[in-house]
Amino acid sequence: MVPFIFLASSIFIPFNDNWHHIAENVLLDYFVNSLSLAIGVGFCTFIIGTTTAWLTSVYDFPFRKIISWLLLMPLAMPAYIIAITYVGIIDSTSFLPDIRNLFGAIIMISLVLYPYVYILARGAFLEQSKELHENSQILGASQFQIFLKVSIPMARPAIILGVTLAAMEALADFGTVEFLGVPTFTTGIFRTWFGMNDTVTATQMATLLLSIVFIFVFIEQQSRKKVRYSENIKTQSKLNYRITSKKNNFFIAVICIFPIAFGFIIPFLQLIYWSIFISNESWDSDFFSIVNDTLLLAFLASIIITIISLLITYIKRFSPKSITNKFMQIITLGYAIPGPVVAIAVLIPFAALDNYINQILVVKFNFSLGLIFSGTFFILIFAYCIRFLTVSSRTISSGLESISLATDDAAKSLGASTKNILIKIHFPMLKTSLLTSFLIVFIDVMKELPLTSILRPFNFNTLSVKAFELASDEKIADASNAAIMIVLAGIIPVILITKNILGKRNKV
Amino acid sequence: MNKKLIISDLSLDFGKDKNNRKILSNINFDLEESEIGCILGPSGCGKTSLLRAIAGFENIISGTILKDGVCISNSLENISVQNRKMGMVFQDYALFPNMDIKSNIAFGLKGMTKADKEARVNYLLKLVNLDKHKDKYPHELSGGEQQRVALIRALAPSPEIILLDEPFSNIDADIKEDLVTDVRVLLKELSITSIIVTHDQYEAFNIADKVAIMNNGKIEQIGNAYDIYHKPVNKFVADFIGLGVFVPIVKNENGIFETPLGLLDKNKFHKDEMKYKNLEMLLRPDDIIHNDESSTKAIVIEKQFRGAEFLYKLLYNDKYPLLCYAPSHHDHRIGESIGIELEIEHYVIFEK
Repeated sequence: MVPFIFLASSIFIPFNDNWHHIAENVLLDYFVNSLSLAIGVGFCTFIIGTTTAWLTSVYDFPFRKIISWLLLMPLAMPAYIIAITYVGIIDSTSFLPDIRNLFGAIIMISLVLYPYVYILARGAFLEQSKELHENSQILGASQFQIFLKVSIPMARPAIILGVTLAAMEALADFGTVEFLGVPTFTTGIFRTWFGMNDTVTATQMATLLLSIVFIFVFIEQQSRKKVRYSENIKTQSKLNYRITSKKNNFFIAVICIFPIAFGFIIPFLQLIYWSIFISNESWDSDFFSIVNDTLLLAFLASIIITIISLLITYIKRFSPKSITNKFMQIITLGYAIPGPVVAIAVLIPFAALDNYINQILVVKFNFSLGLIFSGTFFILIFAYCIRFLTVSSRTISSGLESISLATDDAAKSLGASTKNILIKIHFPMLKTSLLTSFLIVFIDVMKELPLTSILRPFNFNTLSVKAFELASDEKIADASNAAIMIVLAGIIPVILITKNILGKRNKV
Repeated sequence: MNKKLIISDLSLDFGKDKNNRKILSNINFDLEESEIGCILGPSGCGKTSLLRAIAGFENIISGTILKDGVCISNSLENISVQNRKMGMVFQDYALFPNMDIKSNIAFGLKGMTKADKEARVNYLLKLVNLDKHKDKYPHELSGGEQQRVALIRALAPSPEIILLDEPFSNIDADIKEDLVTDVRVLLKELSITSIIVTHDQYEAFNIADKVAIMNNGKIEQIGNAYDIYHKPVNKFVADFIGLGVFVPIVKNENGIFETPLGLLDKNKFHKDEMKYKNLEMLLRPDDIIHNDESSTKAIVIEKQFRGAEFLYKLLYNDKYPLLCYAPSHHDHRIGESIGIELEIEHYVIFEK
């Protein structure tokens, strides 16, 4: 929390020359680009996500089951990696249009984020009642009309939620736009901070970006409430009919394979090709020490974050109205805050604290500890906490919600102490969510780029930073080894998500 | 004093209500050893809160709860849930989904050897005919089976009192009747003091020795099923229990009370009832007898076929609706005028 109060206070610092320079020349560009990116990604993910969700939930076509699963695969591909890959592909051919522009960035990011909309819309479509659809048919509506006039409006809260999530992620993106050379708020902050060495202006820009982000957060939270509301309505029977028309079968399958091919298969095969035939980087001990460092960092961060989330969720359960709980809700907004903003928000106060402590030590004892917080793992993990606490605490709290309060009461009435309730009932029932939370954070940390590259200790590298550095140095093919590792790790949560969805379906 | 449980002047609120509204106020209720009590009331009347206060989940603001003459709850002190020796069956059973049936039942057993625990679990499972399901998990059982598991899980540690919160609300209607009887037989066999909370009067009448009717956080009447049905103390109870209509009573010029359907016997009145001016009388469907010979006629406006009998909704003298049971071979058309006569055992009279 403190970092953000600090951030917000920056607007009271008078604007300096750099601010005026930026405001006059590039701020509008940043604003327009960031917003176009968010809206463009929102639009594209809406089109791809709802179309594929509709086709896979209503039509029957060859390989439908495997295709509806594969449609989630692009989630495993970080946007900056897909961008690196496509730039590499395009550079090696002569007839493809350049993607190093805003349009390219929108396409790249949408190709890997549409699964958000796809998952949520598909869930909502499948919940819709069969009777409603049959009724619409009897009243003479065509399949397309049902899609537009019945299914989409009914699934609107879920779709809006997915689209906002994608838009927020686009707004927070750093790697892709930096690599494709699109000036946005995130890259602007980075440039002002490190290029111009002007922390004040960078902070003020971060605050501005943050206020835009909060508008999206507001929309997202509103739609989340509605999603909950609509899920409460029990439908008589689930939408489970399938339309088969031989004529269109092949065509539908092809439409659904498109996003899988472009969002996952083509870039992944390209990475493998580079890794085997072109890359100069070998799988040597240097590479494995980076792998080792990455895994260690991710392990540490996910353990810590999972434990903190567990504490937060328990506070929420036992004192739902306490101030701590309100406070926690604010903390868990972190997922929406772009990496560079988090970095700036934590680095400045901790650097000041370090300076302060060292000054005192030098004056009083004539010795210096050096950097205690900034430039160490502490600040990096602290920043990860801000960013990933939400994902983790949502996972755990949904697990905890499945343990009804009556269960606790029942255990108490049978004479169990609080400790016994936790050990014998809660822990066994929470095991899966704890593991899921751990894995999701683990992989998020592995993929994370801007925070890690700004806050990492000197001489410390992760796979994502390494891949991005190599790619930025025009050694795109050399980045492939690290990229493949990240994508492979990213497949794990995708499988987890599908299992989770399927699991829920089976229970119903 | 050999009462098992005495609740006196109990009040309860949840503190944060703006109007300082009490959830429960001045509750008085008691039970003898091995008596089955029932708290019956419409949803939201506070009956579950009362049960939870007895169990120790809610702290009361005034009054006392005594068990065997020992105070377990007052405004200052609350013996913890774990130390009350009460068992509770929850509305949705709250079985531990991560444990199999036998572990669920053994959960509350303490200070026993493994063999003793197993013997106790097996004994209880046999009692409710679930012995073949002991290795299954709760979600593999049907609603009725889960309910029985919840019941024996609560009974396993041999509690002194067992509390059942809407235990039959998730049970299909066709097996409910048998189950209610089975549970009563079981509780009586174990001679355990029990309190059941329900909104279903037939459940209450079939299982309980003693019924407390609750409304808006207050107990309106306590009694056995017959008294509550035939001698309700106020209009709420009369309305809530069973079917019935109200007809006005007027005093004619000779000082005799009469209803639109005829004169009333002064001797069946309570003394204080005659003091009031505006009176009305409760007529249950069984107070009105269908008789084709009778000169008093009413018009059939609705009818419900109930197998052995019809429930007729009648209109008398164009303005008084009446209810009447008639054997189902007396099949009359809607709009037909049929003969009726009054046959009232007890007068149930309220001031308007």
